[in-house]
Amino acid sequence: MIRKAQSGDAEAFRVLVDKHAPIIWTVINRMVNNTAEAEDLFQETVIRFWRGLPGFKGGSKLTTWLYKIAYRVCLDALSSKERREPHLEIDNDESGTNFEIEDIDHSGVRIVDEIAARDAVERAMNHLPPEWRAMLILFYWRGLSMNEVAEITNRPPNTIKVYMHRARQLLRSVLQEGGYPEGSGHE
Amino acid sequence: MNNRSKDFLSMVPDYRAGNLSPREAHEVSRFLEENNENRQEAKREEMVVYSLLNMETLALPKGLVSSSVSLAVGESRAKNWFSLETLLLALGVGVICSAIAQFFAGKLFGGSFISKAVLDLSKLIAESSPFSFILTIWIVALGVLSAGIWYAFRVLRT
Repeated sequence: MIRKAQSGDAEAFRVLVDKHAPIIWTVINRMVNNTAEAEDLFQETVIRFWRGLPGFKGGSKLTTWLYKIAYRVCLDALSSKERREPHLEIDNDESGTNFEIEDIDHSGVRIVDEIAARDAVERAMNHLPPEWRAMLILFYWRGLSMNEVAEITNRPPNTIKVYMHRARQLLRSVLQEGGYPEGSGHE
Repeated sequence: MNNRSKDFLSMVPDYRAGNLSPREAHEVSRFLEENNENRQEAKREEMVVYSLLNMETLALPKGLVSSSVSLAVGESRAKNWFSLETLLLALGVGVICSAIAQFFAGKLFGGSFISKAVLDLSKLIAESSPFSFILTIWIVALGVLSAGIWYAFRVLRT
């Protein structure tokens, strides 16, 4: 199928995109947190996928390469958005430690059960820097190895570990603020 | 939080899943037994990792895949279209078509089409003003080019 698509077979390309679309869509949407914007970025990802397909040599897995395109498209869009609207402060610094619990808009609602805890984590995720979100999604949700995440994000594995550790720590703090597990945290 | 706690906390999900070596499992177990705060922090870590592992796939907007694929494929076809090759092909086809047309015109009206064309051209130069001569050349060239492009468009579409 990849070979056919590489030789310009539009139908084979459609099948390939169809197969990976739900995952790519979810990654993009979770990275930018805006459905209308995500649609544009999804289209841009598909266009770059088509353009780059003839040159794809199979050095990495097709999915890894596709994640890389989507990640780059999102980051480019977010960077140019930040340049237009500097107050957004999308970028995070190299140390990955400038982002604090105060930057996460956790509603202050008490977390009474596991469903509420999951909701709180998902909501809090949306307030993390996009790069951190992408790393968490790729590593945990997609189950990619640290090296694959490093290849996609073009960051050294140690940096990724620092970012992900910091992100998990912040997410734990949100749960703690909400009093999870029962009997802990601030009233 | 010290480094020891960091390490153990990140090992808790694997500990619960039974993926650790007996030695590591024992160490994590001891860490959890140390105090209540460790246990609670471990529960939060587990919940965070559990939530990340079990995030839902978001529903794709209807028609997004089709429109994106059409856009990508269509864009590249349009891009290929405006190449030098296409223009040369169009020009070549236009010239051939016009030559064939002239040939048949020559057959119908008698005499060779080349001599007729030369005759027509010399008559035009002798009788017309320079402006009408240039205009005629322009119209003919435009016609030839349009015919070539139209033909190439038909061929590429099929």
